[in-house]
Amino acid sequence: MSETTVTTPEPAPIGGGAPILSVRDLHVRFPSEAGSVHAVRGMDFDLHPGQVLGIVGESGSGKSVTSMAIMGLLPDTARVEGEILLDGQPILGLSDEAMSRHRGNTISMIFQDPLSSLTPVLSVGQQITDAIGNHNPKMTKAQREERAVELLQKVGIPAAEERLKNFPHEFSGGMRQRVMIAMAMANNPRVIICDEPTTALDVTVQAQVLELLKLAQEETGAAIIMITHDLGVVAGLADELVVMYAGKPVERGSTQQVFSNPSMPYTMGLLAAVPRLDVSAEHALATIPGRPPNPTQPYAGCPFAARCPLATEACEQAEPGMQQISRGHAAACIRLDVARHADAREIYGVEKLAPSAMELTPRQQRPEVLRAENITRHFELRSRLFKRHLGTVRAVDGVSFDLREAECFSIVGESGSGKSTTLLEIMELDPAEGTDLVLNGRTITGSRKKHRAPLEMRADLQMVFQDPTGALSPRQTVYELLAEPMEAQGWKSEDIRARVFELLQTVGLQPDHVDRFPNAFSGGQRQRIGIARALALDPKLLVLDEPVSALDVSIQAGVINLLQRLKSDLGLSYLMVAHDLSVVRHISDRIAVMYLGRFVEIGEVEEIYERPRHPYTQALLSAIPVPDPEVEAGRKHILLEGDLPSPTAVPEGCSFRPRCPLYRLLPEGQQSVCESVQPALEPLILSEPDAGDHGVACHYPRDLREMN
Amino acid sequence: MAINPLNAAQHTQAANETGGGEPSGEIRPMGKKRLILKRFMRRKPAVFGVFLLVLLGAFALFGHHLTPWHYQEQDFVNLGAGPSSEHWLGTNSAGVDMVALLAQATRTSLMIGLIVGILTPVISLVMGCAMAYFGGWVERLGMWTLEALIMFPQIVLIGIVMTGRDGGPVTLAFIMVMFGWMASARLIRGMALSYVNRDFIKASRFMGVHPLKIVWRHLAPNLSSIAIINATTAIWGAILAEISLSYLGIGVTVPETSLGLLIEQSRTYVFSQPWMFWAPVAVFGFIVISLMLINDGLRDALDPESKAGGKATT
Amino acid sequence: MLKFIALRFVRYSIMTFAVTTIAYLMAVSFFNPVTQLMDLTGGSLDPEVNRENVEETLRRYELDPDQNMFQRYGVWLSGVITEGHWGYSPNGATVNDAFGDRVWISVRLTLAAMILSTVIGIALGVYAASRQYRWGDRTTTWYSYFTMIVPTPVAFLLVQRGAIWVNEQAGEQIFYVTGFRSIGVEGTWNQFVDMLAHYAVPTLAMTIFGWAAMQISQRQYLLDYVNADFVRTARATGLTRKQAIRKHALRVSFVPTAQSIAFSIPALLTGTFFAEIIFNWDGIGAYTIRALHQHDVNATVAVTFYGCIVFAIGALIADIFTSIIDPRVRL
Repeated sequence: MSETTVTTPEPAPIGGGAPILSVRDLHVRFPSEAGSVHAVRGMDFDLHPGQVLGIVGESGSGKSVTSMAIMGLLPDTARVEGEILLDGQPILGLSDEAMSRHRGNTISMIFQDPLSSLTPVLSVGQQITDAIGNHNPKMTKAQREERAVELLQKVGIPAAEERLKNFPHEFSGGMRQRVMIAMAMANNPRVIICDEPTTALDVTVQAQVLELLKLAQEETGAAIIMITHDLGVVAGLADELVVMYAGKPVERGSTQQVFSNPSMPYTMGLLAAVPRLDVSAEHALATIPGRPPNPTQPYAGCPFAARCPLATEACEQAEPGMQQISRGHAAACIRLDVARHADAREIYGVEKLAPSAMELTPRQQRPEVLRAENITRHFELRSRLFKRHLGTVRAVDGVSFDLREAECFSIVGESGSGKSTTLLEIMELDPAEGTDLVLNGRTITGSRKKHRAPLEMRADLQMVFQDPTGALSPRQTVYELLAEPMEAQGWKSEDIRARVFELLQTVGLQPDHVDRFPNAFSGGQRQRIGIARALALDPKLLVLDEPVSALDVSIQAGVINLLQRLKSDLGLSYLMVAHDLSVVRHISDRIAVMYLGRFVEIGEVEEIYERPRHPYTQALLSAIPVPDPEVEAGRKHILLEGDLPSPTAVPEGCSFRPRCPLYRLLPEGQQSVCESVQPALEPLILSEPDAGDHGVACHYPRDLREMN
Repeated sequence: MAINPLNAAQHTQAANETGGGEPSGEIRPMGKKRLILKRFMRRKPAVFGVFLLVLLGAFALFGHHLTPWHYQEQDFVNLGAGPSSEHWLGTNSAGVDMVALLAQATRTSLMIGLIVGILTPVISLVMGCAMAYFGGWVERLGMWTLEALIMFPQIVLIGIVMTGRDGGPVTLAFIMVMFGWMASARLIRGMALSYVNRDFIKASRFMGVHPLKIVWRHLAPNLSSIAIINATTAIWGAILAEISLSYLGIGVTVPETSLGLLIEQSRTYVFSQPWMFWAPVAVFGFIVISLMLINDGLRDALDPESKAGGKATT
Repeated sequence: MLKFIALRFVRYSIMTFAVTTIAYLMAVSFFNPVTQLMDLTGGSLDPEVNRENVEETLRRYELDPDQNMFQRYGVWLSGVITEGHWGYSPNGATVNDAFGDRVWISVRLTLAAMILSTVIGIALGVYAASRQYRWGDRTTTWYSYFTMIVPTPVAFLLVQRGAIWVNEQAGEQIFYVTGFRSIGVEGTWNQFVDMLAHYAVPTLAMTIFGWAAMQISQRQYLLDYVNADFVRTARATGLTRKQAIRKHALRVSFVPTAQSIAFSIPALLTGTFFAEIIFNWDGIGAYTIRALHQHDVNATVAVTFYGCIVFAIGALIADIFTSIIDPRVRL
């Protein structure tokens, strides 16, 4: 391995003075059966007091391992080398006991999954007071409890005193993450490390938590390290940025510099691979071919060379060190002279989207693929013992829409809104009474007979699942997986064989993959297998349930591009559910926003993204951070209060009212209708003549930005 | 997608492992049974386990040819005699040749093991899948039966049948089956329930695959590996149970013989005539060792997450 | 909570009734006490006279072999329900009398061994988990698997023979390998020493071959949690790894352990077949086996009923225990 030129980062623009945390040439190796895994290979950064440092990278880039190394939480088997200075004092190599005096005191951490990160059998109060008591043994129990209540109030947990007695399972995901933040703030640490703190949360809750982190920083004056794969999250929060690839930083600079002038081809590819929420899609997404190098095998050259469109022979000779670009901005690339002026789309060969003839045909003239009338799914809640009726959950409550050929219709909403249930209701092809499904001209009238739908209808309708691993039977080879739908339709085996190889080609897999089991493939490849299987019968309509949310950014782009190409080439229609509104904007033609089992807004994607009228839609859209610091700085976030209400306790009148920012702004006389009448989905054209078929379920549809 | 040069080494390795190397386009999917067999054969201890078990089986079937004596025949000249050229493993206190006895006892014990080892997993698989798949009253009835059977003091019931009817080894084996399926049926039901909600089962359902075929294709293979692994434990569990029951006098009884009965008969001669006690104990030990080795090998060969399956490349 | 217990109670009552009924009907139809008794008493007498005598005896004890099983079931059930009378054994003893003392003997035999094997099992499980894959873990876990595949009678026999060997080497009776007391020992201290000498061997045998299941499960439960996210969180608040495991992982891992302990408490009352027979303690286990051999219908059914009740109590205690220590479970 070549020697890396270590350039000391220049003083940060804010904070100044001595860094509170310095990491120098950090290396982490894990022994494994396949050899030593070199997970971090020379991490370097300085963190100044009050600064927010974003560390961005894909899974396996070593960003989490770095944070665990700083906290001293790596397993004993890990070999850590380098230097970590906390307030000038070396902390690397300290014993677990010595390190435990720093953890939670001068340096604390917030983890990704709030569900599993709290001990289930201890009350929340106990866990917070312990966090305080670990470093303040002299404090009395009453003082600790007082401090715990104060912390919970700060992080916005209502009725803090009573909630101390509650156990973690009695809190929602967002509330648990607030508890985690309270624990991290408990002893006014100098540094808070946040490891993907919002990845497991809904966008509306994510916005609340990010806001809270800003508050925590102001409150404690701590420096924050924000580790994330989501470029949007850091754009609005971080001052400085480090992009990691294959265990080392490949680009660093101020957030502004990195976003506006990405110089390392990897960073460029990453930024061009993310669909944008704030602009309509004209180009396909950049895809970075291949996958990151195997960390068990040492390599001589630039680790990105094999995937880099600009790589030359020289790139394979020696690993490049950091090269200065401008003050505070550096990248590890020997072709910076070319790269820093190049256009990412150009070097990655991204094409402009070219809609097919069908896609350019006006919607009304295209054949209808699916019409759903009044989809309803109610669950009866009964007590476990006596089957007493406790209430009805209206998971889906009278949802109607239609879908045309070569059209992508997406349903968005928070988890628990009923969007996935809607998909399953359609896939079952056995709807409840009062529901009609018209699929490609064939009608199913709802009866809930529990019988199987005709095979021909099945052939027209196929599904791609969120988790590509769970959707493929681990005991079937790729051949068996792809052959299954055709066998179910009674195809001849020669036809199946030919079709399997055709499908592999369509989705970009190699023919010699047929006799492998799914576990031999990467996540992106597995999703391609899932798509190939869904395409096997030449369906008219693909139902996509969060098709890319389990994938890394650069892999995700490849799958999105594939879906888009299939739509144009094959004239496929998509019915999609996704929580990532940027992805939705990129590939959808029409969307519907769902809240507590009902559509609250529906229409053309451009119309809704540019002129959202329902307050919920506006809040959702504004909650998504945009991966562009300049745009992000100018955006106003509409924060929703609280979580989605329990589906058994849906409020009277408009179900969104308790969280509605508009309702609170309305004069009292206008509020009463929200309290008593559930608004129906009505065309907006009545009040706004150029609204097309945009529909809203709100008594006072308007642009919130224009108010106050 | 381009082939990543860094993975090229892996690629050729994977191709060699699966016996591939044919040019693309003419590749035939490789049989899964062959793959599992291959993985199993790669584990030397497991292969040794099979060898040992075959040896024991041969001894059970043909062991009586090793000695001129019959297992119900007494040699009054040699009562409780030690190993000699005439009686390789000596005789018991009644003067019966130990080799003849041991061959017969091994046969009885292995037969009980096989009956239980085959029937128990099958019944638990069927019951478990049925309860999970059909749900409703089938499940409720099944769970009640299951709980009642678990509640039943089993030794008492086995005792009622075995002492009441002087049942032989076959009866014993069938009662063991009757009382042996509940625990693993409950386990399989739980797993089947979790599989029923898995995406790949949903996927097949949405493809229009027939429900019975889904059970056969997806549910059963995923559960049958548990059943197969359980089978090996069920075999030695049954042999172990036979020893215990025969010791209590409610298992195999004279004139039949079994490992348990031999141990029971020799209980007062552990020190004075140790061959009587240790010979059946040793045979039992060999059976258990061979089954454990096989169990280990199967577990690895049937595990789809196993590292031995070759890797695909980009 | 009360509702839950009441509901469970009803469910278990029904099941107990069904199981006991089946056991009774099966025992009546399978058992043949006439031949059994004739073998015991017969020989010199004329077989016909003997048979008549035996049948007469049985009739006296409400065990009439000529009645069909449903008639006898009716008589028996009304006896149980109206007077709590569980019937006679063929030798004329009442089942009720035979039970009380023997339950106490079984409890005394198993109590010490059960406490010891539970405590040692949990301790070694925790020890093994904290030293996963190291020498200490491998040895303890390997030993546990070994004891689980050794047939219990073989194991107990070897311990018993070992104790005899020690006695022979020492040249005096240090341990008693059968029975639970010597006759005619005077004085509190002497009685105490005598008791120890009787208890030592069976308790040792049941303990060293008894902790395996507890050790293996406790090890696994703890291993499931030592690397849990919440342990990492606890360390991040300033605990060392050891402290975090002790305070958080161990606590969570005790939930299933407590459940299995609760389940095994009532098993004290049913005794153990092998220990009682090999070490010759006349408890419920030995009584059961004798009843089976003597084709004693009433005793067999009583034991069955007793086993069901004990099982039900165990299951109920386990549920209640779990709901107390695990806040996620509410009855």
